[in-house]
Amino acid sequence: MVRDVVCFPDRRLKLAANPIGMPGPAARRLAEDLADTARHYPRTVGIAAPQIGAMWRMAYVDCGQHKKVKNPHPASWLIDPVVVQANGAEVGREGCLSLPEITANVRRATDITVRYTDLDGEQCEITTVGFEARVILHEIDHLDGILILDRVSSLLLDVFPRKRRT
Amino acid sequence: MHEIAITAVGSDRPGIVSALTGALLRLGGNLEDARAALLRGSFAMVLVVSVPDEVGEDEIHAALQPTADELGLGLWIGPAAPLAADGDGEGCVISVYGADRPGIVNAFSHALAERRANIVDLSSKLIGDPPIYVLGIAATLPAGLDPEVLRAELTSLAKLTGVECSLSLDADEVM
Repeated sequence: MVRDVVCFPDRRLKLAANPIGMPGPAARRLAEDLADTARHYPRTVGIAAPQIGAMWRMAYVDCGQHKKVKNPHPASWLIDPVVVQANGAEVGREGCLSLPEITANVRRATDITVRYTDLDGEQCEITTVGFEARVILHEIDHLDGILILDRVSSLLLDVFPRKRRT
Repeated sequence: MHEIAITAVGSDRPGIVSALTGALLRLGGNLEDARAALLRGSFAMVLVVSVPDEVGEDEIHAALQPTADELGLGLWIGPAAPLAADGDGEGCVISVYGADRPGIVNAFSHALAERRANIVDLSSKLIGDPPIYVLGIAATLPAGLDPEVLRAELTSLAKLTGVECSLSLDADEVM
């Protein structure tokens, strides 16, 4: 089911989400809603549960259609993700479903390994680089109540208004 | 409510923002957009403020002029232009840096104007010793302009003017 996206200044976006542990039927329903909602909004490459008002540590990432990612992983649900390794640093522009009016320059690690639980309850690891790593780190930030505005070096120099449409 | 634009410029000193915004607040004003910066020794402030319909430019002038006189500020008050849609083109940021010389802003702004690209934000500064001139421009491109064409033109211009230039497009993906 496509869910409404929570936008800042909704305070839920500034709260840490709760661990899921072993996923059950409710987690699988949440996973479906995350994927449905991501597919509903054009050019969406990731979404975290707090962005649809569900305060659980689950994110959905799908960079499969994105031109910046040469060898994308299959669309994945990351439950209770933890960054176990992060190297490099690069500033890149990010847009956020929950801050629809802006984009921002954010410094992120360029190659990461993340440990997570999948929908079957299996412990997994994903190692990725570049834009896909950026997306995963952005979603994990959402699970900790961190927004791109918390990551910019300068609110004046690193935040840009999105174009307004008629 | 209606919107009024205000600019104030003068020698820098503590209390300018507080004094001006305090006077506007007492008129029932609410800041919609504000930019203020210290440009070398001059403090410049540009505001768009919404005020109750019964408050006109004359009332705002009467409220702000004594403060401006006291602080030595030049003041301009006028109607704010309506918010416009940006159209269908892409947004981008152009960064330029290099040895300072006259004409850098003019050269790049002229190149953008020739392509009907609209500058929505611009700032420049001399930094370091020896000084490096740094220019940042945010622009909206017209529909149909291939950003790669503009990138190539600006790269050529940068070579001609002896500066470094990069163009980055606004992110269109969301996460």
